[in-house]
Amino acid sequence: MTAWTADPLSNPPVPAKDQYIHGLMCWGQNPAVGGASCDFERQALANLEWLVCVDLWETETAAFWKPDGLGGSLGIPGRDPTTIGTEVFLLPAACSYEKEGSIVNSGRWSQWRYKAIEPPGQAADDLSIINELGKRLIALYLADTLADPKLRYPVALLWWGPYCDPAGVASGGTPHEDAHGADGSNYDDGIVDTRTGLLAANPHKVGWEINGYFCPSAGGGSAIGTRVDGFWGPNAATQTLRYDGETSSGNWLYCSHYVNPGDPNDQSGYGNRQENRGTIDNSASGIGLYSDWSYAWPLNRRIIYNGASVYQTNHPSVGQPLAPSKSVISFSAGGTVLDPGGDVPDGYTPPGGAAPRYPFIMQREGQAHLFGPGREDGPFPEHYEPWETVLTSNPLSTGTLTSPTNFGHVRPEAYEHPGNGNPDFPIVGTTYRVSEHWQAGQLTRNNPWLCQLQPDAFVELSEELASILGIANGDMCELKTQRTELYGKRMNAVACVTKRFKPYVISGYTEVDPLHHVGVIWHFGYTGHCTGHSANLLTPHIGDANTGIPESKAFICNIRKYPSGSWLV
Amino acid sequence: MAKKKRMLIDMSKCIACKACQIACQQWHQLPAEDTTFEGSYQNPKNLSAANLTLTEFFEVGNNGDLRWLFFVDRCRHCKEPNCKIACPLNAIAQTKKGYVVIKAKCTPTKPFPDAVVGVDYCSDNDEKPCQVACPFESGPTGIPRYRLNNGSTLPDGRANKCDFCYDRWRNANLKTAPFAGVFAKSKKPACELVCPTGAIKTGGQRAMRNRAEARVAELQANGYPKANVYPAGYTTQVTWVLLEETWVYGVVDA
Repeated sequence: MTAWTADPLSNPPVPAKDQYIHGLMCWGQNPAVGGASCDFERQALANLEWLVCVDLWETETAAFWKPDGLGGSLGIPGRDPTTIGTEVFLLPAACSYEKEGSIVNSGRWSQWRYKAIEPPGQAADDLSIINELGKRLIALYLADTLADPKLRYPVALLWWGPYCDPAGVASGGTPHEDAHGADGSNYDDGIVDTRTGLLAANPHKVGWEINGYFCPSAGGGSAIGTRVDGFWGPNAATQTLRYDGETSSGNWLYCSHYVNPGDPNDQSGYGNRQENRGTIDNSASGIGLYSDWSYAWPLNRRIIYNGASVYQTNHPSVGQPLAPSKSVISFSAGGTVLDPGGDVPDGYTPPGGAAPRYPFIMQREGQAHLFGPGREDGPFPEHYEPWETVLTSNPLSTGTLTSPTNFGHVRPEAYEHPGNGNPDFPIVGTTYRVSEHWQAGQLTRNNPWLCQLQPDAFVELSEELASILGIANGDMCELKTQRTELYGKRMNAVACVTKRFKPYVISGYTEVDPLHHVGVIWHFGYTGHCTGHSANLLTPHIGDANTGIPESKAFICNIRKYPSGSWLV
Repeated sequence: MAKKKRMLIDMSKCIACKACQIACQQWHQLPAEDTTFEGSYQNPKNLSAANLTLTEFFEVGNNGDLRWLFFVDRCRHCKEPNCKIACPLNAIAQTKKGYVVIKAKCTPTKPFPDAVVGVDYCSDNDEKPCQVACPFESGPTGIPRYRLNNGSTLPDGRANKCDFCYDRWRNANLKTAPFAGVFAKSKKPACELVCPTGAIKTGGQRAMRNRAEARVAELQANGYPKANVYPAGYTTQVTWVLLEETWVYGVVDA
């Protein structure tokens, strides 16, 4: 989340924050620490009219307008609140143990989690806050009859609830659904939480909406609000997502995660498969599918592209696993009948199938690719140096040194390139985490026990580099990059001189004059129980060409003993 | 006769996340110490009255042969605890399960009421009899600690060390909600409960000894010829599996 964006109408793009972005809402996000080039982000926040932070503590983002109080060698006095017009709202939020809802992991499971304790004070779960906000916005847009209809109607006519029920027909759900309030109009059940004064939102209703439901026209087949149980089914009897406008879904990948009561794959009794807690490996071959534990998108498929594990259409053993001892799926009766004890099949073509469905269903041809068209940086893998590099030629390729397609050139002064091989910045820098702190640090830097374990921002460097610069273990150091010189805030960090860092002898470097490398942890900021300079003071605002993932793991920098040691030359 | 318990700490499985350190402080409701980063991940620097277990870090070897070794330091729970014998107040007890526990009547900073003037070894000396008697030095003294790293003491002033979470094993509160269903797990020592890699295990003496020996054999056969059991001879209720010889970790056999 950043305070600017590209303006598609202007060329070159301008810093849109100045003209177009009036407000920002940060829900558990802390760009003033976690954003690349974070001091630039802190300064950009000052251009907002308003900022809403929904968090457990006063984060650095919520406190961006305050002096950081940490000092630094450039002598920048810090923020002057009298020059900042941004109105900041800090809404107290509940933490994950204080609210009910789902959590998704990188294994594609969506697991339900229950509320353990009440949040303190007036802290509310973010769903209740969003519910309140949404309802108030809808009311405002409804009341503003003079507004441009193109702007007014998309908000004023939003359906704010688990399913679209224009006639107000109740779904006729089970008692459990009624308990969750199947009124079709709100994400809450109309019950005010006396602790917060907000209507208590119901995450089950969000599950219902994300899953998808029928909203048929007059005379349509399924009752309104009936949940779909998949996005694709082998036969017409399956109540899957349709392309004729008679169904709605928040996300097709989650069709079937919150199904109708009575669904045989549901253990909750009211359709929430995320609450499934089966602990038996239900695979025939013992590979550990555990398909009845929570829900895996899509369609509760545990291993994607599993159609590639069986012989395809024209093989004599069609439908049989290539490795029977590790069978994921298998088909008998000539490849047409799915055997029990397997995963949900993915892209398998039985003999006589009307149209081939090869395993890699997300590719047009259904096949795995070595040649990958559609990538921003070309169809074949290529080594590019980071946007900032100490090298002046690409050691692995005769082509371009750095990727010409990286995200980045949004705000020219933010991205002023220091020049590859710039002698002011002869060291490669990287950033990382430690196990004692979490992300931008608010959850852990407010815990005295964890602060005790890792109390300060530190920089790791090799014994060789430390010896050249006269830095001893535990010395306070100072780091600079192009950003720190531009925005006036260098990073201070305690030296951790370690054997785990070693100089490199790579392209153009020698044993006598090797390439040096330093690493800093990035969890620190200026609010909380333990504080320190943020490593993102150093990092550039560059993103991967295809995903925009920040390239904050590689930059060029310099280091010296604070406050008056010599920089590396 | 209650069966004695042994704790096995397998340093080949430890990732030095320090979760055991925090879980210990949480169960014993001990305060955080005020620390600064001094060039090592090891923090605080030493065991103390508020840190009854401590993850210690060692970088050994060099180019191509570098090892980052960890040692989870704490009371060894000797079978024949010298600290118990040395305590002038009889404030250290050994339970039937073999746990060595410091009782509330430990008052190392208050004069011993019956002491002959001039020979109150506990309150008159900065290093207390239990610390002197402890055969396993860690940092400046033997393992029991009554001070924090900054020299201050806890409000009750008493000495502190690992107590094997003896009050979890027999804790009636852990048999009721919300722990009832997971009682088997909850009654484990706090450090064992939170260890993400299973490096800390408690169980019967013989079972843990067999486990330690099997692990050492496995490690020796798989590229760690110096793997060994510490302390040798199973003279303590806490046993470590080490990847390198004991001196590499700065520890001594008693």
